[in-house]
Formats: sequence, C-alpha cells, structure tokens
Amino acid sequence: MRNLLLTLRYDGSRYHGWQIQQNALSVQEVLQKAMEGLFGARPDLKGCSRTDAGVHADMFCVSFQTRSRIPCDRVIAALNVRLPFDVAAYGCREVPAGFHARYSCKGKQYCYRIYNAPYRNPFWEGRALHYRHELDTAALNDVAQVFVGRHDFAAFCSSNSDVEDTVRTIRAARVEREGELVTFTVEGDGFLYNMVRILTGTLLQAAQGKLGKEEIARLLAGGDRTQAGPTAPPQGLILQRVFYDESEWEESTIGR
Amino acid sequence: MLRHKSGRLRRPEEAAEATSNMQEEEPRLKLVKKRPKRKRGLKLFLWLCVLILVAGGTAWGIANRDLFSGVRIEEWWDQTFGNYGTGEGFPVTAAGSEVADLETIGGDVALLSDSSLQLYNSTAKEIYSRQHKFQTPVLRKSDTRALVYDRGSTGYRIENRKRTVATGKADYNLIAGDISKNGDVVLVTEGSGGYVSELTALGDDLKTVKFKWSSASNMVVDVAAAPDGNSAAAATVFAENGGLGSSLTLLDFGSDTPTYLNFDDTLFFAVRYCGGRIIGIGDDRIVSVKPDGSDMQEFSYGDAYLAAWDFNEDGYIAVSLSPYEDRRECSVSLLDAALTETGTVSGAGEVRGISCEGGLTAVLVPGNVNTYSADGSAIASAQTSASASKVALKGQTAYVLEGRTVSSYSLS
Repeated sequence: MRNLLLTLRYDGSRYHGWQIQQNALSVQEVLQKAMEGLFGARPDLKGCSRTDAGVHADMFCVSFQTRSRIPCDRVIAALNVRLPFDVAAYGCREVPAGFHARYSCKGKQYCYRIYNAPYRNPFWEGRALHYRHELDTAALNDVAQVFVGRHDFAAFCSSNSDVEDTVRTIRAARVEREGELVTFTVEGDGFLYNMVRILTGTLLQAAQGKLGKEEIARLLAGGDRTQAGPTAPPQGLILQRVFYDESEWEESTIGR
Repeated sequence: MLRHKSGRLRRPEEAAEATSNMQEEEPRLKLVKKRPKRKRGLKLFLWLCVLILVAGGTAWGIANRDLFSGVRIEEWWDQTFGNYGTGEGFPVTAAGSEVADLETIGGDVALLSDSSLQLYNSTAKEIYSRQHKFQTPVLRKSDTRALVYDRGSTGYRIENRKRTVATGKADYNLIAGDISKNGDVVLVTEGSGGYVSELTALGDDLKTVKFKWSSASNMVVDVAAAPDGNSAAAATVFAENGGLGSSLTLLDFGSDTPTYLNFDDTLFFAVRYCGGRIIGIGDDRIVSVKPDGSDMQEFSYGDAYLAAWDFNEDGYIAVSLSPYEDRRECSVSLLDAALTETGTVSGAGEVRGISCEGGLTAVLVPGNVNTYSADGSAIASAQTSASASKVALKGQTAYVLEGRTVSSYSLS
C-alpha cells in the first residue's frame, strides 16, 4: 500500500467547497470520481483543509492510500484527463505511511484578493472582491500587523463553528498593491472557520474608519464576533500554500 | 245659569268652584306649558342633526360616487361576505414556468407567473387563475385589486377577486404603472414626437383620462399613484452637463406644473407612497418628502450596497444593506416614513427578500424566514427551503416562494 500526496489547484466558483455534500457539487467528489476511473476504486481522501464554497486553491494537498503501482508522474497526467476543466493536479509524491495531509500540516498561507477600482472588471469577476473605494494599502498593512502573533481569534471565527480552542499563531500578514489589485496575504499555523475572510472584512472596516488598530487589538483578546468586521465574500480567497516538514520525504515528483 | 264650555249648564256655585279649581290648576298648567317648548327644541335639534348627516352623506356620496358603482359594491360585498371555500393548504405551485412576483392582496396570496395570475385565499383555495399573454408581466396592487401590465409592450389589465375589471392597450410601450387605493391607474409609456416619457392617469374604468404629462428630458423609471388617485410621483433619470441626474417628479393632477426634486449624485429606481409621504429609493440613499415636496428627509447607505427593501403603506420601511456587492452579510434598518430609524437587525446574513406588514418585518435568508418588530426585536423564525427567493408577509403568516412553489409558514 502506498501513501501518496497529491497537489491540486482549482477554481472554486462552481463548487460548494472541498468536502463532499449531499445536494451540491464539491471538489472532493469530482476528484474521487476521477480517481475511481483511474484506480478502479474510490480511495479515502484526506484533504489538507476544508475550503468553503466559492473559495479557490492554488495549492491544495490531498493524501490517500492505494495499492496501484502507477508511477506518480503518470498519476498526474492520467488524473488530469479525467478531471473537469476547473480542477487540475500538478504534483504527486509518495510520502511516509503515517503522513496525513491535514494533521501533518505545519501551516498554511492564504491570500485574499481585492480588485480596488471604481468599476468592476469582468476578468476578476469570481476571483476577487470588487471594492470601489480607494484603499490606502500602507495604512492597511500597518493595521494588518496587529494580527501577527499568537492570539485568541474567537472574534474572527464564524459563529457557526464549534471549535473550542480558538488560539492561533499568525506568522506574517501583509497588504500589498499591484495596480488595481490589492492582496492581503496571511500565513499561520492554522486557521479557524472563515477566519481569513473575517480578517479581511475587519481590514475593510478599518479602511472605512469604523475600526482602529486599538479596537482590533482588543478584539484579539475579547472574542466578541459581533464587534469584528463582516465576513468578506468567498470569491476573493485563495489557499496559496500549505507547509509540511519535508525533511523525511524521499525525492519525488513535485509540481513546484 | 252659566254655560260650561262643554255646553253643559252649571250653577254659578259649580262654575265658581270650577274656576277656583282652574286657578289652582293654572300653576300646574303653567309648568306643563314649559315642557313642550324644551321637548320641541330637542326634537328640532335632533332633526337638524339628521338632516345635516343626510345632506353630508349625500354630498360625500355624490363626490365619491365611483365607490358606489356596481363593481365597487360587488367588491365590498365579496371582500366582506365572499366565501370561496377551504383549500387543502399550502404549498401551491405556480401555473407558469417562471414566477415574476408574489404578493398579498387583502388577505389573499397573489402569484404572478409568465403565463397566469393566480389568487389563493389563506387556506390555499384557488380563487382564480387568469391567463395572460404578457412577455414581462409586472404586478402592482391596491387593497382589493391588481394591476398587471406588460413592461416593454402595451397591454395592461385590472383584476379583482370576481373578474377582470378592465383591460387596455397603451399607444406606446409601457415603462411603469401603478394602481391607487381607489382603483385609479397611472401608466407611463415611451414617448413620441420628441418626448421620452408620457404619463397618463386613468379612472378605474381605464377609459376616463384624468391627467396627462409628457417630458422631453426626464425618462421615467418608476411611478407611484397617490392613494386618493389625485396625484402621482415619478422617479426619473435625466442628462445634464454631460452627467446623469435623477429626479423625484411630483405631479398634482389639479396643476399644470410638476414639482421637480433633482439630485445629481443619486439615481432613483423606485418610488412609492408610504405613510402619507413619498419615498424615493435610490442607489445610495432613500429620500422621503411630503406630497407637496416639503420636509425632505434622507437615509444614506454610506459605503454599503442596497440588497433588499420593502415598505408598508402604514409607514414602515425596511432596508437591507450589505458591505459587499454580492449582498451578503446584510444588516436590516427599520425606518418610519420620515426615515427615522426605529430599529436595526445586524448580522442578518444573505437577505434574499423582505416584507413589511403592519408593524412586523419578515426577512428571508437562506434556510430561514425571521420576523422582527419595528424596534428590531426578533419575534419568530421558521425554517424554509434553501432555495427560497421571495417572501410576502400577511399577519403572522409568511408566504415564501421556493422555486415555483409557494409555502406558508406560521410566525407566531
């Protein structure tokens, strides 16, 4: 039995997130269907995260076990033939037997994209949040530094979540502009449900002058969800990187 | 011998005794004589009151003689005593393939689809299903009637519970229309001969022309008829100095001169009468004025986007605002007709529909319909289908459109 780590990227517009749903199409379902066609069976897939409906991924890792002896590089090509146009595999490697795509994860990096212009751009539709008021990215970057560190992010977790431990470490947060595209990039050891989107909504409230650095800092100790910003829409969010401790892995095919 | 007035002869002693008795009686007689005067005065007063009432009632009746037309009496009778039986309860399914509107008219539920207008009573008994051939049907309602017109074409009709009251064809394509409480209709069509919009006010027979207005510069996007049918308000768009402006145009049918309330930084797309005032719904604010254009009040959306709105003729307005273009993460502001905020509902989620009725507001979000009082206090909640797209509140029952099906949810 081999334990394989598959790396995907997908456009989440058409999907109701990663996890299989009863009445909606999910990324996991289309991947399992493609694998069934390739391996002759539906393997038990362990995803590195559970992205929400409409959220995209530039690096999404999935581990699974298979008896198939198909070489890793052939797995990529064979899967891509079977996957829909908006999901693609680009990496496959064999990993230790105890490896789990989610529990072995050492951290993730998300990027939230904001198209900052008076009028919307069809080329960013479904891939970025259109925000029509001018954003002071230097000021927002300054506010974003408040998030860095180990904090209780309960105020930045969806009220639907039942997670008990809401303390996380944000290793880096930055707001940058390239032309009309503003990106909020955040790296951490883990993220709560809707956390990055709520952080983004809070930054936009700060941009409007409704929340200051001191108030946000208080929220990081306070935990009142209603005081933080509204959850930003999903289409601007992309899972950019997933970090593992690769020191024990053998050299294998990797997409990047 | 003295002759008594009765003719009977009496002895003087008798006469004297009688006279003496009469003298004793006189004071009593005098007292009795005072009573008839007061009684007569009271009677006179009462008759006068009755006369005034009758005269006043007759005058009112003559002035509002249209209310006593056969159709009106028929409607009153039908509304008061009409019994269409008991249905099998909701849900009910629209006759057409696409539902254009869901409303409550009186105590009934109206469902407008691409092929029919259906009316159900509160037990889901179908009162009528009337087909139409309108391409883009639009429904506007009064207490007892529905105006259905074909936006972009020329057909229109008025329906009541019993029958199609009147039908008509406009000379040019219809842009907007409304029906007043008294049944009069206001229609706006594309213009001709250099005019961009033409407004016509018709009596409830759809034949009597009460008022006409044409504009060469203001394109009407929506119109509202005053409850008494004697005026109208139009939301218009115009071009000026290379830019677009918008106006609330107030039209008194007794005057040749409209009142223009112009804005160069707001675009109005809807106008309504609410609580005795005129409400203009714009892309970045709501404006409220008295019918004469005075006492302007504004409610700004700030940086937020308008997601949904509804109003109640008694003077309640509910506005759902979202910080994002996709209308998620909404809050709901509850206003009175003068746009004073009476309550707020924060964290409402993705608001798909709002309905105001009495002092209650129903808010439809994916999977739920919730009601709130005027101060924003949560009253009740019911689970709906995730595909629910419209809501119409009547009393404590929410009628929710789920696909092509209307379900009812008790919210008490």
